[in-house]
Amino acid sequence: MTQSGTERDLPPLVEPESRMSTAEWVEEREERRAFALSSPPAHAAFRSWSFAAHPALLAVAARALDAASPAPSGPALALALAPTPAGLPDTRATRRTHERGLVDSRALAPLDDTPANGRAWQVAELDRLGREVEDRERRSWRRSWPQDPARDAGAAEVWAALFSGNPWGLRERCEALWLGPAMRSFAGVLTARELPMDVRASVLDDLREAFFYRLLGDRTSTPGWLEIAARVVETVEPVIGPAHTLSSTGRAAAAGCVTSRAGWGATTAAVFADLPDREGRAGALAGLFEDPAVLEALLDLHTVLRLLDVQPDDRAAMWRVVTQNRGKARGRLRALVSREASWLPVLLALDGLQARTEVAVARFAWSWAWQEMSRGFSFDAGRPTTPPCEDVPDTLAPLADDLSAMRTWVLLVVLKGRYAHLERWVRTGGTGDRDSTWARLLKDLPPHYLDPDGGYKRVRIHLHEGLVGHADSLRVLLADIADLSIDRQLKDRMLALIEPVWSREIPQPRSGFPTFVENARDAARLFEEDPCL
Amino acid sequence: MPVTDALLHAWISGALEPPRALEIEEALRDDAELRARLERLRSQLRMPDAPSAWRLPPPGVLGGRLGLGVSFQPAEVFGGPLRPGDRFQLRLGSLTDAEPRWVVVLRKLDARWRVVFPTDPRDRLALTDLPEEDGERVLDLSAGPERGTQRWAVALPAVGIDVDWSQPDIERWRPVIHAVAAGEIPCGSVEIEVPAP
Repeated sequence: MTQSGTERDLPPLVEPESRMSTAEWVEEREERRAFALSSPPAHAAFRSWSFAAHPALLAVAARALDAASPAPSGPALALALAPTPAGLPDTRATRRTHERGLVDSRALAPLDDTPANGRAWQVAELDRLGREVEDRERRSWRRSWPQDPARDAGAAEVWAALFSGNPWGLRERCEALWLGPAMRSFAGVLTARELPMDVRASVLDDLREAFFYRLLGDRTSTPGWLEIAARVVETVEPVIGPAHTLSSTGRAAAAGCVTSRAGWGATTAAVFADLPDREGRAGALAGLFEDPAVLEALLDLHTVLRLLDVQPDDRAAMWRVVTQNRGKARGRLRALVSREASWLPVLLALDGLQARTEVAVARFAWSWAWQEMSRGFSFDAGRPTTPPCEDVPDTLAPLADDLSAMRTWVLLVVLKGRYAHLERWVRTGGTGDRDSTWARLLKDLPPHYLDPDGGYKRVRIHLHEGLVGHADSLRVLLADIADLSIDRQLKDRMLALIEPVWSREIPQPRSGFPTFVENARDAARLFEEDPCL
Repeated sequence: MPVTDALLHAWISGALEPPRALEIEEALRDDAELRARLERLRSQLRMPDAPSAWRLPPPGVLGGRLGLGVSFQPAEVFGGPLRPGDRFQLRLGSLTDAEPRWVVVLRKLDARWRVVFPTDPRDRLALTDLPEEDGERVLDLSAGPERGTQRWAVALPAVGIDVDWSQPDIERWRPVIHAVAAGEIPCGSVEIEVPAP
């Protein structure tokens, strides 16, 4: 093994426009503070969000804001609305870094806990988040791409061969151009998990052989090349880029997908309040999607509605709502884009095609490596990294709003050491083995979550989008369980941790607590280490 | 957000999406210790020196343009787990073309594929010489002496693809290696388990 040639020098990606001087940041914060405290009407409060240009979407957000009753904590109120203290050090940094400096300064004047201040806090935080979404989730993607005429032409030729279904003749070129980033991602994951050197060498050698086969897939599932192609168009912009590739069939599928999901269904029902049935809403939405920017605006609206619903008052939790909802939506969009293979011209029109593809391969391979890790690096060619966007039959209503039993069940699955089984089952509908523990876990699901015929499609569809959220909500608890020492008091201490959140609909375990701690440690490490989770 | 080693590795690999990369870069700018950790992790990354010349598909994957399915079956005369030297069978799925082909068997030893059959031109065996059962060709082999997982592979070059037996091993097989990489030769691999006693 030789040292990797993965050289990236600082500063690589922070674009200058993402940073602002202290004076610029103070000016922006003071303007926002004055705006929020001036009691703007609800329809004016969303000026920083992309849906502000769409009256129908804006009206939905305004109604939700008027219906909200925020109750921020004292520190949260002060962080958003207290006058900016003087004497902050003059630096050039991102908005978030400036804000951290504000928290650290501990010089914020307290505010009264009044309904007017609560509303102003809500307006200020939404305004700030709208700018953050624009900066981080859209503008940070818009970078210039290095162009290399020879390699870009080579990449274009390989892409054309892949789209035409006849890539074998270009295998060597494909590997010469794209295997490197995949190897680096795998090497990173293998090193991060501290696998022995001989195992790393063996896996990387297997990857060389498996890479091309993974690109081709096994003809029964989405091939890897289409998943990577979807990530290439994401480099344009993560929602609008892929949305541009959708045919009218793809737009109809996207609209059907959006209107059939529990949370999204509520959002679209609010937008199309005059259309009572789902098909009508899906049809109207498909028409709107002819402008890909509408998809981005709708995602912004959905995010705002989730924020108003969940009402997190610490900024990290707010941002998690943003990233989770955007992440889920983008995953579904990639899956929809990967269903179609007729958009080669969109790809070939991109500048810096090789550089974009390298980045796309690296991201794809990072997820692929974690997936392979949980399966002993078997390199099965037919397992999509992007879960397919499954159609929801009309006969299956989404799961009810009360999902505490589902969260408890996911916790039970983790404690029993079957998270990899769950993740595999959600993706494929099977676990690939005949594990009796997994079979018992399925029987622990409350009957009202099951399909009318006793099947699990509803649960799988829910977890398709919701597993990441459940896993995220369990992070802290799992970290606490992982910290428990294994001694005679273990059972009492673990029960004290889990009982407050444990749903009575799920049978509580009575034995096996030391194993639960080990499993929680594994899961906590996995959740912490896999940035794609 | 805690900056874990995994996140730093993802950043080094260029695998992070811009918003996440931005968070890492913000942290790196402010934290000299983190920058030192990054450099340490970067220095730990290793890549294999020289790859194996053969490009055979992972176990269970249909290899080559025609897609050859290869499956493992223990010989029925033995019960229980496979032991070193035990006989086993590889069953080769049917192909859609009628091209006359010959049989090459490989094993992965020390991370390198090695041809274990044929090693002499007189041993060259036509695919049609293998017995046929239920539409599959059956190849009888013996497990190697090592305990653990053994990787075996089969490639079926067309009779027109020949080797120069006067050449040393890798050079001799170069035409077949190239044709396998280009998907022109149906091939497949399996893993067999020879558990410790």
